[in-house]
Amino acid sequence: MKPEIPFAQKHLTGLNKVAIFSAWMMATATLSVTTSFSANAAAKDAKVILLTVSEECEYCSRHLQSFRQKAQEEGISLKVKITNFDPAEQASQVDQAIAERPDAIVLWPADASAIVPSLRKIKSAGIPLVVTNSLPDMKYSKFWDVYTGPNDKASGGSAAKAMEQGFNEKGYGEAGDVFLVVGVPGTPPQIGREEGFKQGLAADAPGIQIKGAQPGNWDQTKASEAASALFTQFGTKVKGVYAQADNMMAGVIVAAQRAGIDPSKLVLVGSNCSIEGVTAIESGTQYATVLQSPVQDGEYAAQAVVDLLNGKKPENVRYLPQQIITKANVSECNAAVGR
Amino acid sequence: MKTQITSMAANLPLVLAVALFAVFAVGLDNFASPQNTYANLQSFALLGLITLGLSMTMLVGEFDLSVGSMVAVAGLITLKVGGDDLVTGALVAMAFAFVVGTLNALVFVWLRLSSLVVTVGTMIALSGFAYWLAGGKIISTDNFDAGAFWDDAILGIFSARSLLTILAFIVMAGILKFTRLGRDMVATGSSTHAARACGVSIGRVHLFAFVLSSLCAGLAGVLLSISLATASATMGSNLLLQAVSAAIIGGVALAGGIGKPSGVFFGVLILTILNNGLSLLGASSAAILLTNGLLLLVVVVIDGKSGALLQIVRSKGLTRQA
Repeated sequence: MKPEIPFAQKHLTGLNKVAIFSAWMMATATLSVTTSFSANAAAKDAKVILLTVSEECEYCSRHLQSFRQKAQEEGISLKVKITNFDPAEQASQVDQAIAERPDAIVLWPADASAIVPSLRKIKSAGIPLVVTNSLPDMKYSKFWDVYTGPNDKASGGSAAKAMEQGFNEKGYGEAGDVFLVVGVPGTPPQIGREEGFKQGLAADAPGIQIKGAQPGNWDQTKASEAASALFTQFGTKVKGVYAQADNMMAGVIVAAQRAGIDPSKLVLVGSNCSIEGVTAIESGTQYATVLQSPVQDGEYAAQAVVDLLNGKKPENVRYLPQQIITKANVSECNAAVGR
Repeated sequence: MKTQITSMAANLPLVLAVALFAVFAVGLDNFASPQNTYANLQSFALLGLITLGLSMTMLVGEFDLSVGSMVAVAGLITLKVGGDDLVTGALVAMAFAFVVGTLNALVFVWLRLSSLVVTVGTMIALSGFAYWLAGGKIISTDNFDAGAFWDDAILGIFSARSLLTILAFIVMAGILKFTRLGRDMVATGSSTHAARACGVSIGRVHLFAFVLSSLCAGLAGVLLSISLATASATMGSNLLLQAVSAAIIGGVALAGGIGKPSGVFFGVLILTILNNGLSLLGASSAAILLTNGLLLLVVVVIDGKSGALLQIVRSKGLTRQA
């Protein structure tokens, strides 16, 4: 006698299950409607989605905090979606964000190139868009309403000026060798800052020669390893180092000390005004940094979305101020490091 | 009793997927909207292809760890070789994936090494190749039309990419159900020795599984790079663990011999729906990761318990017959 086969098992074969689910999906499709998004909702009670990159990096978390605070002050209903610098996941989050029909989207691209198709989708959906922190190629600027954030090329240019200034202050004159410790190769800040630094030196201090560059990948340990190799290669001929972030400069300082070189004798120029840089500048081991405040970065993005929602037309691109910070004006970094 | 337990285990992915969908659809305003269903199916499309291929190697009792690296390499080849001619790039990338899958199978069969060892080697080699291809840069294209072709909404909720993925599941289900090769795959995963004794060409089965796994990962990489109009050496690096989780949640046994494309289909949908729903609820990425891990544990425990129950019922049945 055959055993009794339960209904579900008898009828729900693999193919049937897929077919049932597909039919369910098709039924949902029939509900599809074209939805228009209200582009000019007032900021108060407006629904805004912030798509950001990480909770773990200190800069990202300060950016998020300051954005949240400003949004709260303005009465914005904020939803935050975070991806761990994964462009594929962020593309899915954009699809989801569009489905939620917010009044505006604020987007920190995990990858400034891979985000372009998603920017097109947001534009097609008619949702106001603020891009923050990472500037995609300007040829796609028609896809967003406002960009706020750093100008990496200008930041590199400021670092070159700081290097020139440091050479004069430390008595090295107008010529000498330097090396670079750069961020993750191919990322917009790495490319922009390096380009700005090289152009700045070539224009104003051609005697300062870049002898080498190694990736520190925005990581202190990796930067320390990279700088150790460069100190071994060039030794005491090196008069200065440009590290594209202060946390990487902390690694460079450790590498210099291990190589028997006094870091305070070098012209060490970092970037971002993070706590490592501020502490090292105060103690005299680092010469300068270039201000890029995550607090301002978040505030600028929040202000841009408020302006958009209130019907104002902010400029298409709004860069952060990126002044040179030395021991003389290090207090300018207080807000950036949460003091 | 025995059939009820078997049925429960077999239908667990379907039941879980429907339950999750229902819970989120009732609890969240936008969850069942066509736009969000489209978003869900887009996520499904990427993970689905990789999981389908990987689960077929698991079904024959082996494992392909190289799928994540293959996604990056296939994407890079598509854009570097193709430039704006993405069709040529995609064809070269798929040919490369075929060669890698064949090599994986040949090394595994001829040298009689563990598939974990062979494919971890391939994974590292492919990762190095990806960094070499990328040359420290992100490769991009201005050809957004191809991405629009694959990603534009069809009937409000589908896209060509998600429909292709669903089609791949249907074809694979057909192969397993209606062809000798499919039956040989299940037999090989259940017991290689018994399958060989019954005349199954084990080498042919392994070759098919590894080539299929590589081709699925390659296709996922091709479509992802076209969709993002970008490729990088780190693209797809998070996908291997997600695919393994989806396969296990979908009822594929790590030991081999158990698993169906329909189960894998719902395994992938469960993860997709869960992540989407939690994200709509505003959960942090840490909370989503934690929930994914807990879900995997729950499914493994339920699956294990039902398996143990089945064993008890079987043994009681045997005692009674004796």
